[in-house]
Amino acid sequence: MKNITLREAVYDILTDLRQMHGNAKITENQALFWILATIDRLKKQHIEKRESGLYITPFVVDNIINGEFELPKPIYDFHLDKGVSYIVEEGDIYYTRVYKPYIRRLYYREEEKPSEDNPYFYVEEGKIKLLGRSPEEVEIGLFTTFNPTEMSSIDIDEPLEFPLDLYMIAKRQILDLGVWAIQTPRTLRSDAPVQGQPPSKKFLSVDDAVDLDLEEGQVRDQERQVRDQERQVRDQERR
Amino acid sequence: MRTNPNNYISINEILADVTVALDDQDYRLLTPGFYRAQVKKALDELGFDTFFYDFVEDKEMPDDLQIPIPEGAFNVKGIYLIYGTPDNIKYQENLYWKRDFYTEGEGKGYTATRHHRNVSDPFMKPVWNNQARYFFNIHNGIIMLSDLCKGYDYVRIKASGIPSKNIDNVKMIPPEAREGITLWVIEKCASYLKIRYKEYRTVQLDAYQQLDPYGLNGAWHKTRMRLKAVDKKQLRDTILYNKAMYY
Repeated sequence: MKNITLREAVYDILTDLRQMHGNAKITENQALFWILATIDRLKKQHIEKRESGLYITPFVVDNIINGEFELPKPIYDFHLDKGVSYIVEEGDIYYTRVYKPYIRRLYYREEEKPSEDNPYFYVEEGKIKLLGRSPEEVEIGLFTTFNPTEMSSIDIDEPLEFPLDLYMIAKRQILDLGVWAIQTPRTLRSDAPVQGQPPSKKFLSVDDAVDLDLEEGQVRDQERQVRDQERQVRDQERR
Repeated sequence: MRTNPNNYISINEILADVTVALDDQDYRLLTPGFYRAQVKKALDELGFDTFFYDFVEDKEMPDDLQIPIPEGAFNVKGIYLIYGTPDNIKYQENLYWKRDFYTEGEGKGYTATRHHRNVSDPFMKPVWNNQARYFFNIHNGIIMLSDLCKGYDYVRIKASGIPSKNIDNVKMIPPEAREGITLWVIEKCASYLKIRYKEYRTVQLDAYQQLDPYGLNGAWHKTRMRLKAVDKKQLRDTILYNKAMYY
């Protein structure tokens, strides 16, 4: 599937941000994280809205132990576990999804009991558990996430599994996020004044101080405050 | 109408329609077993309404003259005593129902509304020339036979069968009932789903209207009439017999 790559998206975003804030210190990784977090959400909404097989990724799983296996990749947490699109075994044996607390009821009636002919699966803590059969191999179709927490394993030159028609919306949201981060005042940075105490401020800005719309004197005052706080910490440590 | 099991269709053919009507083709809302159970329930309802499924079973004559109604049967239609074996019947005797007949077994006597020795009863006089000495009654699922039945080898019980307990699981739906059963299952499943998804209320009402299970203007009534209808040949012969006064 031809599409833009993450690398292209990163530089597209960085170019625009740097045009607005030339001195902003935004790394490629930072931009990458923003992009992944944003397009992940948009892709989830996109899949929820339509019935399309375009983003189902099939995996063949053969490491099934005691009827359970790890999900090959993280999936979207859709209603009714629809992040797992299907599980099928050779011979067209389809597994029916069930919600774990509802399993007990299945045993009340012969037609619904888990069996070789009537197998089930349920999702639990990143694992798939099978009921009724213990196959050696199954095919599983997943709606996988971009998972920005595992950026090191992402190939940024692979075509992006993301609808291009939503890219402009994603870009707008990413730029908003970037601009918001840049404009977060430096006074809100997480600078716990005294060691051992929780931080009093919530946000960490990525901006450079000179880029803020502050008077030079105000910047100096802020820097002096920071130096004073650091000195207090050192004094306390010395005592 | 005598349905022809060779024409029966599978449950899956019903589910192919039902799951589309309920937008549950991936069985996320209800399990395949749940749907199958509803189809069987619909089939049984039709069976109770129309007696379309016939059931026959031969039992060896028991020593205590008491036979439980066979599993999967209801509505006993006929009981015959067989001399010989079921595949080599040398003589048969019709068995007749005796009101309130109750016995503990062979040689233990009996009670009944009209007892053959109860001559003092001012209302229920014994009938001395009663030829129907081969009689039975059913008490809590047990068919009790009169002492005279003892001389026979087998008892043949003809009854209505509960369809889901008797028909092969692979093909069990008479095509005459396809529409009625499909709507019945849609209506039932939608009624179960509406508690969580209110849009199924509309689906249920639509299906109910087309089905009209307690009225005369829907698929259920049409299905019942089809299954109860007499075969053309049977009808013509009955007319012929009536005309000739020959039964």
